[in-house]
Amino acid sequence: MTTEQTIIKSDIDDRYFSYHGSGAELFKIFFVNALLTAITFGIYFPWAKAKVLAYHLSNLEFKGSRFAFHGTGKEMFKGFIKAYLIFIVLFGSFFVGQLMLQGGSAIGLILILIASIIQIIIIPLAIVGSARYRMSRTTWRGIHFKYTGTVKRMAWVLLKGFFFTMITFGIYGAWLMVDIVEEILSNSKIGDIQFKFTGKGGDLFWTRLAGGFLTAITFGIYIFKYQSNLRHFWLNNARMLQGEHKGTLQSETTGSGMFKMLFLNALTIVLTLGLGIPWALTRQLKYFTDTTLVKGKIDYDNIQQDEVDDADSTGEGIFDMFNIEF
Amino acid sequence: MRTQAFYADGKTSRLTKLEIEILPHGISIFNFESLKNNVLLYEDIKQFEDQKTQYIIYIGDSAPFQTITIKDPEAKVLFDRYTAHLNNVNDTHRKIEKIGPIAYVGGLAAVIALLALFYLIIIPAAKTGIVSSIPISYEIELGQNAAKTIIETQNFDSSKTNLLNQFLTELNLKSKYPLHINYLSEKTVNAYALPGGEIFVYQGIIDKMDNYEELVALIGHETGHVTNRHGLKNQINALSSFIVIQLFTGASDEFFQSILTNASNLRLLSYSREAEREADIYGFETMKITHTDPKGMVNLFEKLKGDHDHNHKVLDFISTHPNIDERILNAEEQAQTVNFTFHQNKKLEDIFHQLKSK
Repeated sequence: MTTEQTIIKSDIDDRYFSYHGSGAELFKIFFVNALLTAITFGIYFPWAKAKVLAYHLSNLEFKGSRFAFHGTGKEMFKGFIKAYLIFIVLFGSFFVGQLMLQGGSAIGLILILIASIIQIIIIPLAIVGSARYRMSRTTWRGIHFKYTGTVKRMAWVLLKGFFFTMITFGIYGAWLMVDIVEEILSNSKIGDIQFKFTGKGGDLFWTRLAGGFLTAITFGIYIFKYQSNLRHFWLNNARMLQGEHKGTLQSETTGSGMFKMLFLNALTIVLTLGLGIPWALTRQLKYFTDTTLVKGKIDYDNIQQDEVDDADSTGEGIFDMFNIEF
Repeated sequence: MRTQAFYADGKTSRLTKLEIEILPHGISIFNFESLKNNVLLYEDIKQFEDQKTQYIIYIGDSAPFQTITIKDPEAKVLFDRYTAHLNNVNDTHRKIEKIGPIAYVGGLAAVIALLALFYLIIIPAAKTGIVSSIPISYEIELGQNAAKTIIETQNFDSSKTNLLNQFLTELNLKSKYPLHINYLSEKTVNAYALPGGEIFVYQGIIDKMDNYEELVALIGHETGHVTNRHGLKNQINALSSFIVIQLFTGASDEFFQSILTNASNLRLLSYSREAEREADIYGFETMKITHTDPKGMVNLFEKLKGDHDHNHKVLDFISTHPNIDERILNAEEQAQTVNFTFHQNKKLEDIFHQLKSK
């Protein structure tokens, strides 16, 4: 009797996450962002991005308190300018280096070599920079997130991963994805809670293989269950550590739930010629937060603040130049 | 009015219940020692987040901040009233919301005006400039290169191509472009022209024809596309749309981008319909000059209509070609009003029959 009651109680308590954003509000934000971006010929873009990030985070609730994003458009604009300068220097070095090389100067070769090295580390630089910036500006109850990973480690993960993915004709891709997520999560924390990722590349590989196969033989019907399984993989393998205490996440998405959400979203977007994107987005976020359970014995009312990271937004700016959403 | 709030000190995530009172100049905080005079002045608030069911106020000079969360709706109303005039909340969206609907309408009008400036003045001027600056020789080279690829990858028939070009020579059309027709043995009912004079005609459309006048109409129409440089203009249109979308939507804003892309696709469609109309007029001129029975054009459209109705039950206003009934009407009207002298051309008829025979 007591055990049963405890189970029921803990099940209710596990629903710590909720998302409170609305399509109409998000539409208004998108609309104003679009107008301001158009009138300023794109210069407003970093401010628009900050606004959207802040909106989503401030509508994400965990244990009765909202998250917050403290990053500003001004910061991100500076990051974009820095990224822009990096690109000018990069392409300038290639160009000048080539001209000098044609003129017979060895300095040209050195220039090209340096530019090539920058080119290789620019993606890990962007990932690490962006993670550091976004996490340092995200708080819950005033406690900051923090990213402690290095560019060197991330560059190694990517280089190794790309190499093996290439020579295995893509098979290693699953391991690469797991390695990237592991590198990011195991270097992330909020206050004194450390995140970890325990998923294995092999599990992801089989999930994807089985999912792809079953989707093909069921003429696509299985894809919703497959998407749900993928979400289980990513969420259920995430861990939180606070001293001796452990916490885990659990995804409750189902094939039919995924179908309902994705079908309604596709319908919303197609029938409104894209105007319904904010509604689709909020529906998806609501579904994902409602199906995320938190298990374990972590004391969320006693997270200790760590030293706050003062990262700048250059990595963010590099992503913007590539037009990639991180 | 006293109400309850929750305080976190920025050192741990523990929430402490507070008694507060919203005053005109700040928030009075009871049972709390770490604030001077127990009043938090509104000017000292670093950031606040309005989240419908709660307000979070961030206090402190730099991160980590202390936070006060207010959940009482009545306190929120008071807080809003007393902080409405403050400038320390640097949020453009909030400012715009305060101005009211006129800001949204005005902003939209400004964007539409800017777009109109681009589409009605800047782009047409640039297009005229660019089109006239591109030499015909470049257009010819471009078209011939593309034609080579098509010939290599599709079912090209060289003997029928020869017949088509004999037909063309016999028509003796005047053009600044070296006109050349290619025959493709494919069932598709279609024909198109590349920039610079290369025209492609599919077996499918020839099979539909019953007399040579229809072929004259088709060739006239395609020559119209070539002479009016529609291919080149199309490219410039697509490119200008791309540039405007990039310019207006910044780095990446999928919401606005998808709307502008939809709008610009509609514009490109309306442009190609305009181009078809121009080509039809040119085709008619060709019939007149070559003394061909104008009924040929009407017949060609009638046949395409049958095929069109069969294949496309979709909304016609969204197709690239003008409504085919409208084209038939135009053609009939032209055939009746324009003074035509036409006679049967035996040579053209012969070539046409050779083309039709397997």
